[in-house]
Amino acid sequence: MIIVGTFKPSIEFEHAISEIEQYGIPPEEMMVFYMNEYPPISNRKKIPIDIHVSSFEIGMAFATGFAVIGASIGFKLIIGPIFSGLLAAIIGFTFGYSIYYFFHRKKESPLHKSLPEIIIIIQSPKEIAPSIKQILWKHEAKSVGMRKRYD
Amino acid sequence: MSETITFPKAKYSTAGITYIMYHKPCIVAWWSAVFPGFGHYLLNQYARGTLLTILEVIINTGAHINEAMVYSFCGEIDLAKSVINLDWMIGYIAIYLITIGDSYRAANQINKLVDLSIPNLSHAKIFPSEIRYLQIKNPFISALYSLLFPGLGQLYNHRLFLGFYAIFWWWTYILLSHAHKVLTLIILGKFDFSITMLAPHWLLFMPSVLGGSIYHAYITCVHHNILVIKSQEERLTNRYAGSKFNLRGTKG
Repeated sequence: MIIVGTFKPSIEFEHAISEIEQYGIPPEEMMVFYMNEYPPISNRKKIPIDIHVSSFEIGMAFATGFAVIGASIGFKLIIGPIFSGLLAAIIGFTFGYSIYYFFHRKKESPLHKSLPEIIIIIQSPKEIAPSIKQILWKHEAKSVGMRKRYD
Repeated sequence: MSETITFPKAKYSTAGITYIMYHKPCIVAWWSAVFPGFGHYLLNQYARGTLLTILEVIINTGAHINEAMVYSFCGEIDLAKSVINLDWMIGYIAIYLITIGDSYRAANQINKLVDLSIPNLSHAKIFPSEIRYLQIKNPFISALYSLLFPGLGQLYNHRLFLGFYAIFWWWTYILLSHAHKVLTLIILGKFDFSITMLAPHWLLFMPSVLGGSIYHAYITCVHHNILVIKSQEERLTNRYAGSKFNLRGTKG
């Protein structure tokens, strides 16, 4: 039989494979695929960092710069350096984050947001196929498929 | 002939997980400008990052840079001029600017090495006094921890020594600037005498350290998550290559 399961990257997945190995299926009769290719629109395949991470990056940079200036000026203001520093940090973060997000949101690829899917293909004798299916489901498989081979 | 031209991307140690990953050089340079040493922390050059931060506190205190900044931003240029200690100033400028330049250069170089490195981390490694493991974590939790108290986000990310180093400094800043005392008084509504209690020199370290610690916690968490997936992929696709597969033929 050929059994196919899909998973999210997690330690559960590895528990599943190791259990299947204990059932007597050698590693050579399993194949693991990571769906790690991205559509050609996004040419930044090697670093799937999504836009919110980059926006956060710019936001924090602005927040810190603003906070230093805000805290300094705060010594002259009624609200004092702590509040003016915090306020400036919030303004800076919002400013930096939204500027970056606004200019870069079109480049975003929907696939970047989610973790890549994993596909495992297992070749197994007919008798133990149901138990393997069970193991896959037990370890949080997203979907499982099974079919006979042409013999 | 050499076996391979690639090298491992990451390494476990008692201090944490040290790795190389792509960084925007201008962001790294910016954090070096915020606090000399922070840029190198982002690049995982922890030893020199730590030494640079110690150096920054010492020479900033000697040269009175923070007080001069407060006066300058408040428009009191004459006071700013008079508060600077000239013995320390030229050296401060040299170290400050070269640190920024060095982190920028290092970031560029490390970016070139990233493509030659392969993710290699196992699930966990046990050391005499620590256990290191990889896990998918939420970067926002990590940022939040550091927002509450710098260093906690680093501990969340297994950066053991940096975490306690940051906690130590944050306590130093709190106690010398009286920031938390003033914050408490303000919350209790005692505005009138609270501001005069603050020590500008020590208070002005706090926004940079807070920001830097939040950013470091966040981005390290994001990078660890990438390492988890990439390492797992490397390990599993190598082991389960399906070399005895014969999808259409007869049973093996």
